[in-house]
Amino acid sequence: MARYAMVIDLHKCVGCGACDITCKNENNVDRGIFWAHHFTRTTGVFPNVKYEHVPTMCNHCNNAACVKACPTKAMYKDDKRLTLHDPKKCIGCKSCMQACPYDVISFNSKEPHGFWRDANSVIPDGTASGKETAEKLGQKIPYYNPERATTYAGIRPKGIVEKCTFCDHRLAKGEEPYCVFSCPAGARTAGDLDNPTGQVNLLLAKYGHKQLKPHVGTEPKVYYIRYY
Amino acid sequence: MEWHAPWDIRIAMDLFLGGLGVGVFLIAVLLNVYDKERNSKLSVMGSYLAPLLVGGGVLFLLSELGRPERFLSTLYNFNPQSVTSWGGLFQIGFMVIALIYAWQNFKGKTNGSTFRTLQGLGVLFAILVGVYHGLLLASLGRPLWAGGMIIALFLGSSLFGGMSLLVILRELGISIGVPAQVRSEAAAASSDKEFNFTMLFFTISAVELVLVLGWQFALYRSSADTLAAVNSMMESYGGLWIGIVIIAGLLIPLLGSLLTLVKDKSSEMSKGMALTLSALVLVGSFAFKHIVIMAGQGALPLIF
Ligand code: SF4
Ligand code: SF4
Repeated sequence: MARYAMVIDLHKCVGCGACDITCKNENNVDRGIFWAHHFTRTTGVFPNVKYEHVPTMCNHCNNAACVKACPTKAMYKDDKRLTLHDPKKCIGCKSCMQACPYDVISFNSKEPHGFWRDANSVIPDGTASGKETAEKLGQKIPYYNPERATTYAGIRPKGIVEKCTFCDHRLAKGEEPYCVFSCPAGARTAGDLDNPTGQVNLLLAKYGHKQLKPHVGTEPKVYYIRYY
Repeated sequence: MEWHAPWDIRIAMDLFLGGLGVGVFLIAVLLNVYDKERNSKLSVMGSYLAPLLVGGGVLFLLSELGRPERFLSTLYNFNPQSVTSWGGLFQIGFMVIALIYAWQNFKGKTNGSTFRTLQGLGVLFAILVGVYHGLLLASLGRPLWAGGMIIALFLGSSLFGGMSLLVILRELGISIGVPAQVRSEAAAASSDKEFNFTMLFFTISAVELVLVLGWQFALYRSSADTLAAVNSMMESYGGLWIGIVIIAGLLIPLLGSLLTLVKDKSSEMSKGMALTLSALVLVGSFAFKHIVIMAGQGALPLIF
């Protein structure tokens, strides 16, 4: 049984936001929702100013508050200690969103991907509307990744929540999460915490780490190394 | 990205109406046990109102769910770690008991052991539902809701609201669906063992005021997260909090009932005062729950 975790090297991260965007492509995530996101923070007084760009995502916490709060076991831990979500069990009560200290769960208040059903174009008579593009391509949702549907709803419907799955569909094929694969700076490393000689443990041993809000007791499994 | 509170006013309505329902039930049972004859009309009315209010609250909750048609799955996919799961169970249990209890009242069968058993079970489930409201928030670990005091605050507010609703019914003399024999019992009741509503009104308002102020004081002395949460609550809702929750909803009712008791310990508030103060309590109770629920959902700072 594995225990997946991610290490993010903040010295390598260039703050390009590629992870935010490629995650959307891989997981068919709608506008306004981010499974992979970031926050920035500027502290200090000139000339001693510090600027941080910190990528964020579901921490797949060991002691996941969202799993405890969910009244239907729709949010659960799998055998790789990932925090996953069963869309068929979800009643859309949003208790998990309230319980997660990291605000990484999103609710689908409307039918997602409305852009591709919208006949209005950004520049009238100048650009194609989403609807036109979808019709021309013969797809309900252009750029749809069918691979996503192998382990989770390809598109999560209205009325339920959704969040990062650590690309469990890619892990099942022996591939790394897409944010790790697509990071141009090689700032992200995913692996098994139970493998003592794995890259994750080597990096943690070499640099030490920080986690987000360790005091809330969720035991997050996203580790930040070489922070500022 | 713009921040939206996951829960809107419908959750406040659920906890407000549900709280009123359990408050009405508990006070109605208290009246029944204290002086069955004199208070029979009010305790029968209370038994009807309680399931209606809790049921109304549940309807608001259902309308807030993304998938209301799956609501019953909280029973068969039950998560023992989830307070929300337990809440569903308690509310369904209370509704069933309260409806049978109301039926017994309607039929005038208020003397047998079945009635007493239902009353006991009803009290137990009413307390469980009342405790659940605060516990639900406390279990989610958000800074403004953390700690046990929120449980006592919500329960106290529910009792006070329920009590005020009964006072309004009493003052307006409303009696719908009360069996004829109960009405004559009430009319024939002796005057030597009167229940003093004003005293209870005063006691609950004093306790609730102390709890609310104590809670706020404790928040100001807590961790940075909690301090940020209470400051943000006061920034967004400070006027409503002080004006409606503290002054109109607690302080004026406290002083009004105290004034009456100072004049004569066993007297009741005048009709006008009882109606005005009870209405203020209801508004204050809703404002309290709404503000705490909305402010508690503020975006959390992400810190190492
Ligand atoms: S980060 Fe939030 S959603 Fe992810 S496992 Fe932890 S508590 Fe759950
Ligand atoms: S919204 Fe869905 S996943 Fe989240 S707590 Fe409710 S039922 Fe569970």
